[in-house]
Amino acid sequence: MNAPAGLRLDRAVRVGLREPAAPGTPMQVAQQRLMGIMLMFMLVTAIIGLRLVQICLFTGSDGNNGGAQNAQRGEILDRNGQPLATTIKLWAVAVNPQKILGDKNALAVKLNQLMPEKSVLDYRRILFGKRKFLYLRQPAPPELAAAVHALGDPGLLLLSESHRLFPQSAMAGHVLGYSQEVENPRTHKQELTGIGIERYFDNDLKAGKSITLSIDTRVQAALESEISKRMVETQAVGGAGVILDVHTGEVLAMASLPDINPNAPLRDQANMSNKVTQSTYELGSTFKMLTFANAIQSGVLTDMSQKFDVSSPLHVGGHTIHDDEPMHRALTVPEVMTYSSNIGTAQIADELGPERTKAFFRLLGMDRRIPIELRERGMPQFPSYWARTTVMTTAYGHGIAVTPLHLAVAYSALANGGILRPATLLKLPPNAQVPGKRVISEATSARMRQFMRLVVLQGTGTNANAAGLRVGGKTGTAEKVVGRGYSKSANITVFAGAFPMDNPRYAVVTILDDAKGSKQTAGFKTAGWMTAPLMRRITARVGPLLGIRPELDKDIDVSELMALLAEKKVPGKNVLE
Amino acid sequence: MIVATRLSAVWQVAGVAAAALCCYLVSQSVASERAGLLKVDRQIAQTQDEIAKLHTEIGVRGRMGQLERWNSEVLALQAPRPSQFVSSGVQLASLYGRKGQPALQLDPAIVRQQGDVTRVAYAPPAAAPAPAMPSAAPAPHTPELAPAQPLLRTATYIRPVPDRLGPAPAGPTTAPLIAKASFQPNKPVARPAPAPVVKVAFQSPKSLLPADISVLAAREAKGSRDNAKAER
Repeated sequence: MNAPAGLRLDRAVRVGLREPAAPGTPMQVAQQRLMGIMLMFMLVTAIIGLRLVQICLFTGSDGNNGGAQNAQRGEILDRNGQPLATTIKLWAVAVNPQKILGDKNALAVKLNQLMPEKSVLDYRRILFGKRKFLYLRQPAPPELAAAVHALGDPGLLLLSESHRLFPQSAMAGHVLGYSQEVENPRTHKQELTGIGIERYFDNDLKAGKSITLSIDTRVQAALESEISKRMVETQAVGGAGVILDVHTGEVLAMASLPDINPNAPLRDQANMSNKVTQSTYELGSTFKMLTFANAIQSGVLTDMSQKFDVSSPLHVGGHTIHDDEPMHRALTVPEVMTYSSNIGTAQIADELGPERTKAFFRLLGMDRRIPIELRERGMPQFPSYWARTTVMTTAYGHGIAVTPLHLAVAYSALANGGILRPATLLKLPPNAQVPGKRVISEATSARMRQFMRLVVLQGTGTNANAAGLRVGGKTGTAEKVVGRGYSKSANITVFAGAFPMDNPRYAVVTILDDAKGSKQTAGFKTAGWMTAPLMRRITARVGPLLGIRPELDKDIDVSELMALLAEKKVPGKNVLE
Repeated sequence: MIVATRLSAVWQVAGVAAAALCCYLVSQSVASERAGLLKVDRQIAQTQDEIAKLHTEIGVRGRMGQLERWNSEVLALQAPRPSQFVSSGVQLASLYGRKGQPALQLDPAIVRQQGDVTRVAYAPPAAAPAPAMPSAAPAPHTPELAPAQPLLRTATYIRPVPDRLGPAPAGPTTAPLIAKASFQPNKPVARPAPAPVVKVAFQSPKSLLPADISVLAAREAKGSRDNAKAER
């Protein structure tokens, strides 16, 4: 109806314009009408064209960019670019029984053939039921998805769902962790829970950013496998270990055993705590190195031949300090260290006094949580009141409890020339370091390196001496804290050290929880027999991986201190295996 | 003229229509190009997905825990010992031929040159059996070893000492060397043979001084047995 009206109008206009012209022959009228129709067609075409252009230019572009990136959670990579956590698409098979078109009985039989976990009866019950959505298999392998697709019923749904996968399974489970939204039963709000890097960097990962960790998969695997092997041998209930780059502060491996599998994190709730960063332990004699460093740095120990009488236990303020292996004579400074004499160390600490002791521990960050990219960081048990006994006992690691990572960071500083660098789990660019602060002088650090090596050559740590790798360090044994007191039967055994001692590059702390002695260890269950062999195995395996060549003809010069040892051990004697 | 003015409108319309058609065709081709691009993009994304999937699969199948298990069950590889590292090429070369078999095959050209040098030390023995004979005489040995004999013999003079210390593997290694020393004078026509036998005897007291025919025969027998073993 419109068109004739338009035409008439058009004709009227034309008529109006061309006055003299005749109303027109039928031919002209036909031409004009045709032209009008053509114009209209062109107008419609032009509108459609414009609309298409608009759709192409605007809707298309922002539709492409938006969804794809947001959907994909970022990857977590190790320092060599190997994926530790990635997101994959998995199929899920679901059904909407209300939309089934085909024969439901036949479909139930076919579904039973494809997914035999449910009986035909079950499938019939589902298909004839009143529900509108039900997962049949989640996740489903691609072959199954294709087979279900081939059934071709619109009621069967194939959903592509993204799934977080940790290819290395339980490796570095505590470092990687998990994150998930859980409804808080009290507030009925969705709350983010989880542990590890997944939780700490949740926002970045959600935004699609990849996180490159300082962890080296090979080193991590070696560390975990050696600790778990030793745990089995010594029937320990737990174990932990951390390897730090002393010059950059990067964590190359961090293991807490028994491990958790981040692919199914909630299955092992009991082992959720990270023993390296969260659990605090009294780390025993490993603290003697710190006390010695403090004493040398503050000028209390200047003469290494200075003697300390350790012949009788020390009675201070109702507390008795005694040695595990009483020596019944006066010991030189290196002997106090190699025999791991509590009495001697307590005397040195007594000379240091509470102020300097406290200040040094504070300088090492032992009074606060360790700074690292994890939320699970334990608060150390730092004494609030420093009595004379506190000073003396903390000197050999009793009465102060810190995380193994605290100790590893402190040992890095002792070994690397005196710079305390906070540990980091993120890979740093080449030649970059975590900014640190000086805690001891180069000279003191050099002396501490000698002490560490001496303990492994002549002291309690001989079992840690990995051939050619110049291991240095200190053993530590402490009674396990059970409830409110100490267990007489269970030990926490520690080895803290670094290698290669002539130019330290990596600091290692390993811990075994309640390792039990055996015939092989002559019944001993101290760190020298439990954790020191573990340190040797870890170093022997990890050293070459990290590019440190075992060299038998290379070592740090400890002759100066060696001369002060009255009795020397025969190399290779009393060494495990 | 009138026809032209009247037709001008038609021409205009036709022109506009043609232009519109052209525009439409262009937009069509652009759209098809765009669709093609989108398809390629989709293919790229799909391929990347597949690559990622395969990477993941490789990662999962080759995860460290799995490798560790295989290692403990099958390979039993252990951390390398300091002695397994060499600092220089010389040290590396010194590891060859430890078990009496020189794994390092010498360049015949160098051997020919070096043969002259050894001939200075061993003038009588090396001269005669040098290049031609060995291929004929010691049949079981590889032809490369044979011309190397004069050169290697200097080394065997040092080696007999550690060989005697290791009893089990020493037997087969010393035997052919000594046998060769005793053989070569016998089989080839070269007379200067007795000289090396005496030298060997001096160097290693095991090859007893009285160079009896019986001892020689015993060695011969032993040598042949070794050769037979080697053949087997």
